[in-house]
Amino acid sequence: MLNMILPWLILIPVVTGFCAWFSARFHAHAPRWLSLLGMGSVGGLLLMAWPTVYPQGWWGEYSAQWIPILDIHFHLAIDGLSAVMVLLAALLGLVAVMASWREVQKNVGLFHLHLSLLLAGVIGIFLAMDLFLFFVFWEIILLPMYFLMTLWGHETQLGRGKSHAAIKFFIYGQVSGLLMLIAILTYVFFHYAMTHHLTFDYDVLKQTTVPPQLAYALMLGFFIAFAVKLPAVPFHGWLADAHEHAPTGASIDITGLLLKTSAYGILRFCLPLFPEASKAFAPIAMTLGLVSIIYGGVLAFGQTHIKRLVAYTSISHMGFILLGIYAFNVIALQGVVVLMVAGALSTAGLFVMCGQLYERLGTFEMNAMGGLWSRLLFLPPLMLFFAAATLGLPGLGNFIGEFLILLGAFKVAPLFTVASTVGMVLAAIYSLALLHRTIYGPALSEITLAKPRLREKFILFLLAIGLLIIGLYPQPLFDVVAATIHRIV
Amino acid sequence: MVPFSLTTLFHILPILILSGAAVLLMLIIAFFRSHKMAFIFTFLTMTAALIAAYSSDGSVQSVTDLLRISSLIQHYWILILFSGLVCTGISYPYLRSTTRFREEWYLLLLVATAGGLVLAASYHFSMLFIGLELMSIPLYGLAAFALKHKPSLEAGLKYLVLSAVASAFLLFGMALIYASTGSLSFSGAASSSLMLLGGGLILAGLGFKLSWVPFHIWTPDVYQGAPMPVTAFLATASKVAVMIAWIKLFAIFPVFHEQKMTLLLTWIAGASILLGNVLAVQQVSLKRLLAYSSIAHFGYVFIGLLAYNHAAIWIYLATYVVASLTAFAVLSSLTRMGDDQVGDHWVALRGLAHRHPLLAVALAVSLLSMAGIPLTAGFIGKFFVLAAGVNSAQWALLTMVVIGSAIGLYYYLRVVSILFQVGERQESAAPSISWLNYFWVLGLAAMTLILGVWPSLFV
Repeated sequence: MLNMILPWLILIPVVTGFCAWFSARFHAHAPRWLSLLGMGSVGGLLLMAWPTVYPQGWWGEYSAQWIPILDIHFHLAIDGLSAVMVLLAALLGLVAVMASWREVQKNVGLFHLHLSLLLAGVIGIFLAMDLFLFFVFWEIILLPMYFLMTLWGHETQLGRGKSHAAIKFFIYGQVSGLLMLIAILTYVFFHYAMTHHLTFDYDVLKQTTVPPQLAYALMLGFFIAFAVKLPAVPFHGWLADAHEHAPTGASIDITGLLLKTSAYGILRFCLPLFPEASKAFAPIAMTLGLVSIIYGGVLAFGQTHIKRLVAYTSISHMGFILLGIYAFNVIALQGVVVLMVAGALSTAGLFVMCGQLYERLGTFEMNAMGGLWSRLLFLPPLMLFFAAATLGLPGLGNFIGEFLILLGAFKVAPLFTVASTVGMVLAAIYSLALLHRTIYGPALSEITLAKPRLREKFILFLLAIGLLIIGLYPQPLFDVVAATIHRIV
Repeated sequence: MVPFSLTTLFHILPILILSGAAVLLMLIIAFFRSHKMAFIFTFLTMTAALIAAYSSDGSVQSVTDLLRISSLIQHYWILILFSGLVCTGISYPYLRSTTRFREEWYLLLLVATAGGLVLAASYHFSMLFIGLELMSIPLYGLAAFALKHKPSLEAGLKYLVLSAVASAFLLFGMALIYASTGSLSFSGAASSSLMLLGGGLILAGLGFKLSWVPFHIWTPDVYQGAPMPVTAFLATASKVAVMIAWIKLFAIFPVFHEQKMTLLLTWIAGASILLGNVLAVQQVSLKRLLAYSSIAHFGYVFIGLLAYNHAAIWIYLATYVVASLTAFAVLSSLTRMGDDQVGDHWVALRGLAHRHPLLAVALAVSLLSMAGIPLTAGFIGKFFVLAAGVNSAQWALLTMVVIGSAIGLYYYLRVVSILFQVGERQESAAPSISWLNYFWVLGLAAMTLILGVWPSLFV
């Protein structure tokens, strides 16, 4: 059953996306409902086929020939890790559609087409098991994101405008992608030279033993592509600008999905394909992680634009993820998966809230906020909740993730781990700063702002409940990904 | 000597069709001037030649000592004829507003295309030269066709003068090779220092037509000044034909494989990629931008050449031709003879998506294809070239490709952004766009996408 639904997980959003585009001429709300339906049915379909006992290998596989002369297949496969990520993608897709319900009024159909295509591409990344196919998905998601930013982005007075940010995002993605493509090709031709079998298939290529130096170079090719999307510190230049200009829906997808594709990529490709090279590279990767944690935290504190602040907090989170991945043990990797999910939910919550504040105040500048507690019902306590989740309050998902990562990493690299706990302190500082600049302090005006609608409350509660469940009872999540993680380590 | 019989002429049927049609068209024009008739006649001729080229069996055939046909040549003929066909197709709506000598335009196009075919099939230096001139001389006329408009005249003259210089280089190179080997036939004579000098001069002569750095100076001015369909022809058919001639020379003469020569070629490739891309960034006219980007594209092709991977080169050129023709088809829909200078300027393109959504989408597809985004034809071309480069370990040039792509992406995306900007609406009535233009634009854009999604169709 799972075998046959795999292509549909990608096709459904594509089809509903195009339907949404055409339906715009019939009714203004039609595209929204259609894309909601698309994202919902992806999640529903996967849940329906969810296995009761988790198998050790792939849960399901699908393969069809695509380019015969290069033996490239449309090869999809799913295991625990992919399943969790696809489910997360569907959930955040739903959130993104609902969050843009009122924000996007211009070219609604086209907007939802791009949002759906983006989701389809991201799901493709999580399922593709042919390196060529993976690369195609990896690159193709840049395009809908680019259009989301240029066509529906926010223009700000400062900076160089949304199309500049969008192009920057695209170039970062494309250049790093090309390095990965060259690495893939080198890998494939090396395999061809060894076996006289030209293939891009993940499972086959995995069997190749690559000499250490070549493996290191190839691993770097992949790692740089992933580090740019992660983003790890020297490659992070695009993130804050992208968030500043992206519409809310796109922002949610950037942090919730795009950044997670890179962590997924490292887990799926860097570590299993080049285990020895990755071990040799671990100290450097962990240093990058540590730098990201601290740098992201410090910069987050200095922002006055609320979305830029949240963007930098996600750099800090991704630093923890990098640290955990390169600790190479089960506990840390479990923590990585939890933090990927929980981090996506908490940042998505904050971005949704940024969008809601923007709808009411018309600005993302925190200087113009202040004292919202007295002016706005319902949202400030939820802001408190999500900020607490971001700073890693026990009982919420992020805490479990960060705790496990630190626990796992401590065994391997105690010094790095101790240093990275600074990040936890910084998280507390920037989260509280966020609260103080927005909801506390003297109110800037007496006018009460519009009450949140049912839809807005629903999104936020959905995310909050997710965080609570992961925070209080993470065991099911551990079980799903256990097999994958044991195979990696 | 290759024995000659009339049946061997059958193998060069496309050339015969085009040459015969050129004579016939001349007669038709002499007796009966009709734009529509000349167009339909040319169009049918090109289609017939394309079918003839497509249906040939692709076996290696020598037609006298001068021409040799093979499957490789057949592939390039298809590209040249396809470009010729599209250029003819977009000419008709483009020429509607002019009144003078419209019929001769098609005559020149036919002759130039025939010249391209001869050049592609040549297996003898004399034929190489005849083919090259047969293709170039009509193009001087075509480039200067809008005589009343200074830029067009300038383009024609510039192309004429510089082409003549390049031809001189080419001839001198041929003479040196003749002095060294005593034969004008393409034979793999062992290299000598005289051959090396001759090879270098030939490289300069052909490099001019392909606008490799440092022989590229003419490209932007001629591209910009020439009427749109002519620019399209220069960018596609003309370059493809010269490229296949050069590929043959490169494959046959060992002199081009000497270390000095390879090093020189690597430098030319690297410089073309870098300079083409860097200079394209500052342009405000799409034609100039495409001129510079074509310099870079023909730098990328070098990677396939130095890897001796003919399949990769052809695939790259095919994707480049389709994408370029899409862009030029869109541009020629927006312009009329004489107002080229305005039509492709950023100001005119701003907000195109709101005025002509289909054209804007097609132009965006073609630009993204040139940038090599997956699911467009351009990606497949780039993929094969990269694969050839990786397979032959040309790391230096691959680095240049990565850098070049980054810069390339910047200017291509900037144009895409401009297309979708909400610009100040132009008050002047936008020229109405004929169904013929829509046919070409949408057909080519669809082709770009289909080849990208389903590359098995042509690789």
